[in-house]
Order: sequence, then C-alpha cells, then structure tokens
Amino acid sequence: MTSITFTLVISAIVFAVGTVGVLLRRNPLVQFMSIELMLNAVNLAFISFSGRFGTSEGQVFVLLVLTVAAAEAVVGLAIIVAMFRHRRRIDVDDIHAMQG
Amino acid sequence: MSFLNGILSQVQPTKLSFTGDDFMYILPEFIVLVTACLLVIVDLILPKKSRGGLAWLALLGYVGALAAAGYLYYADATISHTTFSGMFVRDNFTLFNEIIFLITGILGILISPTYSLKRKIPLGELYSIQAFSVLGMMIVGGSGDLMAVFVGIELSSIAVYILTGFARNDRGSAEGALKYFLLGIMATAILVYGMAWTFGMTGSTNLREIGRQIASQHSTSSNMDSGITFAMLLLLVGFGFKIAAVPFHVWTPDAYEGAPTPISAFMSVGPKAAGFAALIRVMVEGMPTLSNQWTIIIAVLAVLTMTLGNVVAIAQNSVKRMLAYSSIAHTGYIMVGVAAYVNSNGVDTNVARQNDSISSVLIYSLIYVFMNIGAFGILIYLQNQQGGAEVDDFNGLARWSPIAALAMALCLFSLAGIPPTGGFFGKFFVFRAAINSNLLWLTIIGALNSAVSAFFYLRVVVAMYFNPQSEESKSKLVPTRSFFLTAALVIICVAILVLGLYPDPALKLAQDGATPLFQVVKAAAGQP
Repeated sequence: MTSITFTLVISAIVFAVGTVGVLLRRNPLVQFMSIELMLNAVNLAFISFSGRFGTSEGQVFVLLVLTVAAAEAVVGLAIIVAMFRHRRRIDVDDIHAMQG
Repeated sequence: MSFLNGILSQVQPTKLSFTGDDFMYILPEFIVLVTACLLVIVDLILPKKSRGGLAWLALLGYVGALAAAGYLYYADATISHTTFSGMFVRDNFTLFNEIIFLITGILGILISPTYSLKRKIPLGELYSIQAFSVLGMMIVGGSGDLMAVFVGIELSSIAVYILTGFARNDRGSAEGALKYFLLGIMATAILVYGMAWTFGMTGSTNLREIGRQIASQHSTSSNMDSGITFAMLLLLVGFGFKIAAVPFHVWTPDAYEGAPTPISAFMSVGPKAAGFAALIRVMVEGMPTLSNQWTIIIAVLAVLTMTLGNVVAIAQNSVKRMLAYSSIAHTGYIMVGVAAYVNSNGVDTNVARQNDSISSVLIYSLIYVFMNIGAFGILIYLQNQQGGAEVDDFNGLARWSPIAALAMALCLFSLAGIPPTGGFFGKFFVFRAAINSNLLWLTIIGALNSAVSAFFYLRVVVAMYFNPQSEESKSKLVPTRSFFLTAALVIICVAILVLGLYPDPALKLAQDGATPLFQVVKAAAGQP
C-alpha cells in the first residue's frame, strides 16, 4: 500500500466513525464532537492529496477548515448552553416541542 | 494510483498577485463588510434609545453596495474578471446574485424592527450578523474557487445559526437553532469532504481548472470516474442540505418555525439562493463534463422535494410551518430549472437552451425572494397585532385590515403561480426550460404539484375573506404601526406585480447573468 492510499483509507474510516457517531449518539455535545471528527478526516484527506501533488492549496484549505471549525464550536456551544438553560439537561430525544 | 502521475505533470503553480483593480471588483462586498463592522461598533456607542437608527445605517450599506454593483455593470456590461488569484470572479452571474442577496438583506432589515422590539431581541446585533450573512452569500455568488465557496457558505450559515437562536427566552428558538446547527455542520463536513476528493482527483481547487482537468481526463481515460463521481455525490449531498432538498430537509420545518419570524423570512430565501449559486458555480463551471449524471440526480430529488413539500404543507395548521414546507416545495421547482441544464434526449451543447435553464433558476430565485418575504411579512404584521400564527388567526383579516389581506392574497397567489403575478412567470420560465430539454415528465409532475399547492395557499385566502373574526382574536388585537414593515410590503407588492406584468428587463438581466458560465464551460472543453 502506498502512503497516500494508507492515509486516505484512515481518513475514510475516521469520516465513517464520525458519521455513525452523529447518527447514533443522543447527546448534542457528543454529536458535535463526532462532526469535528469528520472535519479532521477531511483535513487528513486534504493533506495527503496536497503532499502527493506538491502544491500548497490543500494545506491552505486545511487552515480554512480549522478556522471554520473553531467558529462553529463557539456558536454551537453557545446554542447548547441556551438549550440547557431552558430544560436543565440536554438530550436530543427531549427536543420535541415542535413536530409534524 | 498511477493516474495521479498524469495530473502531477499538468499542475502548474498559479502566480499570486493583488492589484488595485482587485479591490475595485469586490467593491460591493467590501461595502457590506464595512457596514457589518460599523454596525457592531456603532451599536456599542449609541445609547439604547436611539439604536433604532441602526436600521438606516444597514439600509444605507446595502443600497450603497447595490449602487456599486450597478456601477460596475454599467462601466462594462460584459465584464468577466478574475480577481485575487482566481478566488473571486466579477461577472454578470455574480451581479445577479448580488442583487438577490442585497434585496434579501434590505427586506430582511425592513421587516425586523417592530417584531424584534416586542420580543426584546437586540436590534444592532441582529442587523450586523445579518449583514455578515449577506456578505457570505455574496462571496458564494462570485466564487471562482472551492475555498471561496466553502468560506462564503460557512460565513452565511454560521451567521444564520446564531440568528435562528436569537430569541433566547423562547424555547422553540433554541431548539430550532440546535437542530439547524447540528445538521448544518454535518452537511458542511460532507460538503468539504467532497471538496477534498475533488481536489484529490484534479489537483486544483480552482473551479475553471477543475473543469479543464475533468474534461481532459474524461477524453483520455475512464479510470478517473469513480473518484470524481464520489466527490460529485458528496458535493450534491452537501448542497442538498443547504438548499433544503428532500431527503436532506429534516431541519427545515423546525428551524423555520422556531426562529423569530423575520429571521425565518430571511433564511428561507437568502441561504437557499446562496446554495443554488454554489451548486451552479461548482457543477456548471467545475463539472460540466459530468452533467449527464448530476442532472439526473437533481431531477429525481426535485420530484421528491416538490411532492413532499406540497403534500405535507396541506396538513399544517400553523401558517409559519406551512410556509416552511412551501419553501421546500419551491426548492423543488428551482431544482427543475437546474435539471433542465442537460437535454435528456441525447447529448447536445446548445448554449441557448442551457442559458434558459440557468437564467430560469436565477429569475425564479429573485421572484421567490419577494413573494416569500412578502408572505412572512404579513405574518409578522399579524403577529405584531395579535400574536398568533395559525390559519385561524387569519380569520376575518379582510374586515379589519383590508390592505394587509390584499397584500397577503397577492403574495399567496404569486407563490401558487397564478397570473398576473411574478410567481407565474417564475414557474413558466422553469417549466419552459424543462420542456425544451425534453423533461416533459418532470414538467407534468411540477404542474400537478402547483395545483396541489394552490389548495393550502387558498385556504389562508378563504380564511381571510370569508371566515368571521373570533371574539378572542378581537380582544387580543393591539393596533401596531410600523413604518419599515409597511415600506417593505409596498416594495414587495409593487415588485411582484411588475415582475408579473413586465418581466422582460429582469429576464434579460438573468440571461446576461447565465452567459459567463458557458464561456467558462466552452473554454474548459477547448472550444473557442
């Protein structure tokens, strides 16, 4: 196995683990962490492709993804705190004031 | 992976350069950025009582950006200029999208104040975050690179997550924001994974370069297809979430219902139009060679989206939730226009037909901005007066507020696609493009869906004109006047009628807007 195939397979596995985590876990914080895992898988894919091509575009993209992930973390945690204030516990199964 | 070696030899480093012209070509974006920052600062300085004036500052910024975009258009109407090393493209597609987003921004400001003041939502922050969102959408509209698409989409989405949860004292608002946020960033992760694979298969993040690479690989060998098809599917899923296409729509009804109503109006048009702009930029400019594949997927999703949106909307008693499902259905109609990009009856590259397809998407998005914000605007008016958002709350509106009822009827007729409103022409252009591309089956399904949609739109009209107002509703009535809301509704009604009676100038502008895409496509395929 060449090195790029190896890292791409790792990246795909991490991405799949993240996706399963979002779909199966019921705690928004854990779901959020799983999505961070997906974004890190993306970063790994970008870096391995970028190393293969010898260009910096992929690495620049990784920096952008990291920045955006940080912004998302800020907003996401604020929303989860706002949610917690209303009901003193967080679990997506409890979130059903609106249905239909 | 020997095929990568072939790409390696073709990748050439792009030269970095910034000139004064670069900044000239992003003038409208720059004005919105300055406005957004100014709003944050002025909001801190002004005493609480005089913060209502911030609306004027925001409006000034948007109108200034519109003027700058217009100036760039009149200086050179056939402009197609790549700036910031290919990151941003100034052409007529950018222009048309800027018009859509800036109008969304202007109307979004006008419908907010009274509603927000009643619910103690801080206005200065609302205006500035909304301006950042508009900025993100404008970047998407003019993106020439996957990085710009990504950053623009995220800037607009993250701002809208915050706006959705803005009514902090309202439980539904936080709940809608959480659902929107979790599904939205998951979509982002899928989208950016697709971008990683696109980059990996083509060696570039520049959309034009990607188009060129895919075209040349397609003509020489076929062993690339699986990787790039995988990338294309991931991108379609990501964009599907952003435009709220079925089956990626699950966040939509809750986010729209939970958000403060002016924000629901804003997010039902702005981010959706931005999603379509990104979809068209990436798919038409970057992957025209694969158009036979992605148009089929979009056509199938369009059928699901239209049908589910309309059928579920029938069962809703809350007008806000009904409008959420109706906005899903409208996503479906716009997707019909995108699907018409390829002639299903054999391959042809008739530019006039393709232009019809993309320009119908653009003009539908523009008309949709007016009619949807209009319908939400009357809902806001009603909530200001008596608080409720159910169909029953519309009972007897024609008695106590005939002008509001008339405006609501106009918007609903337009949403249903009844002439002489703008909505009729929107549907007409989309379905005409589909018929020209031999998608008769899709057109028939679309027309049937329009008929179904008339049912739940007219239900509200019937309630307004024929049902008596209940005593309870009379007792809750608190007359509230809002200059801004009235101004927004006047603009919207005039625009819907003008677009319905005399759509030619807007159509011409949309056709100009679609043109530069095909020059790029031709260049990618190596044609003159």
